[in-house]
Amino acid sequence: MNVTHSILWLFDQHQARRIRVIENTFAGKKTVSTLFWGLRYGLLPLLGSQKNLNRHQLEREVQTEIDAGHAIRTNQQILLTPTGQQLKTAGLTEAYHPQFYSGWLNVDLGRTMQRLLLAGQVVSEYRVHQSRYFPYETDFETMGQVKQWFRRNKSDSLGQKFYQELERVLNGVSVQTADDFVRQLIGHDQPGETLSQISQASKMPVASILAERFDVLTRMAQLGSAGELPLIQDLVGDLVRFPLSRGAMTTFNQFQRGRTLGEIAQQYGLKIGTVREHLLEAAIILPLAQFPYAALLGSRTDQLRQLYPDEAQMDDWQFQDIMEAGLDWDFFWFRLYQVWRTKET
Amino acid sequence: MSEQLESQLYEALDREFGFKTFRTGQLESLASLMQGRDTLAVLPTGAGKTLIYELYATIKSGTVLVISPLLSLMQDQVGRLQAAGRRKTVALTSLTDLAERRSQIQRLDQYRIVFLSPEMLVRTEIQERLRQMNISLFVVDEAHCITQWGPDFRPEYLLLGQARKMLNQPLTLMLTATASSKTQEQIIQRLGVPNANRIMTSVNRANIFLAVETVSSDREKGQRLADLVRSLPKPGVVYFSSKRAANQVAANLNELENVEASPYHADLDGEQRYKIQQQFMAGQLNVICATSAFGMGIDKADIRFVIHYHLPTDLENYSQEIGRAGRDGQPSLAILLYQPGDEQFAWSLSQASIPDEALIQRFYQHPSQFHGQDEQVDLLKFYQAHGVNELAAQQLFSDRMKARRTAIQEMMTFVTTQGCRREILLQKFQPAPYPTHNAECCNGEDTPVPTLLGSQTEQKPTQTVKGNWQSRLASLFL
Ligand SMILES: [Zn+2]
Repeated sequence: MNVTHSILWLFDQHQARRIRVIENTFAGKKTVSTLFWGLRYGLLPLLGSQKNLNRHQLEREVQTEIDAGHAIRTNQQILLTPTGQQLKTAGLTEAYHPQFYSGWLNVDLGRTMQRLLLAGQVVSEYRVHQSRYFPYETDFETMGQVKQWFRRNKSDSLGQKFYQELERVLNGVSVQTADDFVRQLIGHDQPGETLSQISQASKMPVASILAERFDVLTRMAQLGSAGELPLIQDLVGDLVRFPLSRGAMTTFNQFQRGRTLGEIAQQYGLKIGTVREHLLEAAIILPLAQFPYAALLGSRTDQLRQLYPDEAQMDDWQFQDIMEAGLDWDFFWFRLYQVWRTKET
Repeated sequence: MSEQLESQLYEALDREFGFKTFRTGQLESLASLMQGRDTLAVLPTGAGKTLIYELYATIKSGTVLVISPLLSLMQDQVGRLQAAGRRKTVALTSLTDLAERRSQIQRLDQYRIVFLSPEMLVRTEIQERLRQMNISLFVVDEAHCITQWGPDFRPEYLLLGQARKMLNQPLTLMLTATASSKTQEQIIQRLGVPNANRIMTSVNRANIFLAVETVSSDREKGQRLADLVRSLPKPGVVYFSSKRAANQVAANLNELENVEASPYHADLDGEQRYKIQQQFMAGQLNVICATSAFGMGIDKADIRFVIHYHLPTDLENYSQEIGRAGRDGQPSLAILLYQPGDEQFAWSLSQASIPDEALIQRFYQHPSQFHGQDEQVDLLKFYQAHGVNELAAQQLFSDRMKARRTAIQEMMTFVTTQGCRREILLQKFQPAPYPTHNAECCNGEDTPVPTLLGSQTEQKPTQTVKGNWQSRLASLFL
């Protein structure tokens, strides 16, 4: 797959997609609308994975595909043309298939990588007793965290331990993935390779190299949480996250204890609309089995099933139809049903 | 300059940087500042402009405030200073997150050097904090941005004069690599420092041969570039006006033997930029395909050629960009590849950021209807917010258009001349006399481009570590 076609995988021939949603997903904006459409597009695990994504760049790359006849724009949305879809499919067969895709959501991938890059460099330079070098420049939070980590763990065997823990992580992925990941690391006399350089060397799209990176980091977080990587856990352990926002978590817990939405709203001084948004967030992010869709929707389920029989057309369902059927329901029920049906299929 | 002051400065230079001699213009600028005079220093790229305020910060108590328009360069500089052990340095930019920025602002007086983007400087809370502090020096880096109109242009630069007043007119240093005499006047006027001392060194870089080659098609241009890159000694930099072209050409050049090229522009995130810079410094890359708009934090002394693939929009940019070549003083080459019609592309780029008459009119009629992130609308909003009415805005932007057109015409004079190109370039920046044309000067007056360049320190790209991932990992940490 030609690297320049690497954004095609974010789009689809049959589902018109908004660039804005994709951009917000990468940026980690947790509005219900972004989350819902991210879910619909199958891109939710990318949530917050590229916080510094340049929106003009994404827009430009889409335009390039449109100019090349691989995509079209209708109503601010992007559809792949048959050629575009073919390229995407061809590309996907050559591309990397993530092993831990759904787990990506549980790790702050961007910050984890920043810490790992800087910590790796610090360890590597320390090993050769080098203190004057051009440090990897990243955000101040990362620099502070790495500095403190280094102070806590400084010892003659630091390099050895760091090597062993990384080796432990990389033994659990394919040789190719391990190789592509190690090339990215920065160290003494080794500036590290860029994503596009690795992409050229391994003849895979940049998106695949990134997917490999996310898999390695997710695997690392899993082993770390299991207590198998003390040094790395100390470095990035706090970046494992429960993807629900605090508000949504509180609301969901209360709801699980049998409180009604009205009671929750009153107890926390929230608008009922906010409580509903919290529940939608929980529904979108939690695994299917953990959310009581049927109980919550109750008899509404049957009515909704009749109103919206064709689930293949879900993106075109109109909330309007509910009102026209004489039902005075909030939009919440419509969206919740959509989330459920999306997750079931 | 008194003998005492001179020896004080030399001592500080040796103590703080371990250098025995100043580069051209550094000593003069420092002496001028030490005598309490506002100073405009026009020093060529690579002359070590930053050393002036870095050294000043070690001599005088208080905080040196550096206003710079290039966020990435600021970060680079803070990184470099910290790597050199100068930890009391900070960059306050919109890239810093809010909580962190707050704590930086609180501790601001503990830093010796504070880098600020212009949009940060005009914020009230920051100005208030700065007013409580002892600002020993107010530095305006890339001072020509106050007048220039390009991707680096920040309307906030126009407010620097006002901000300086708010800070009780601290001692001011204006730095730029390229400023025509007209630009110098504007800088001094806008910052309100009429009595500023001007320190100027010649922008002439005698070791850089200036060449223009005309090609007849895109194809021929690409071919010629490949030939040049193949045969010239490296490392080198190729400048483009578009990111897309930089990407494409870098990919093509990579196919050549002994060429390791990479694009370098604003679309790359910090990680990729860091890696490319360091690979270039380490010799793993030997050709960088950069966009003109993007400041490069690379100070590599042995760059042998700078090629322009597109026509620069003015002589100031051109001069600054070729200035990356030959900082080690060795013979180097600047080649501009010109295809008739390129000036149209340059013109459309120049125009892109300037709102036209119709837009200005529509905006002033219904300003509330304009939102979003359009560069031109942002500019109009800025002007409107600062009390510029429609008539004045029309005048301002039409003057700007004219100025940009003139700038391209000057660039074209440089391209099409049969005479000495160096003289045309220098005329823009300094009064006569100009050096006499000779065989090492330029390819005007039927002078051939020298071929002697191929003979010296040819750099082949160094290899990266080979082997399986285990051995790579071991080479990093074991
Ligand atoms: Zn000449």
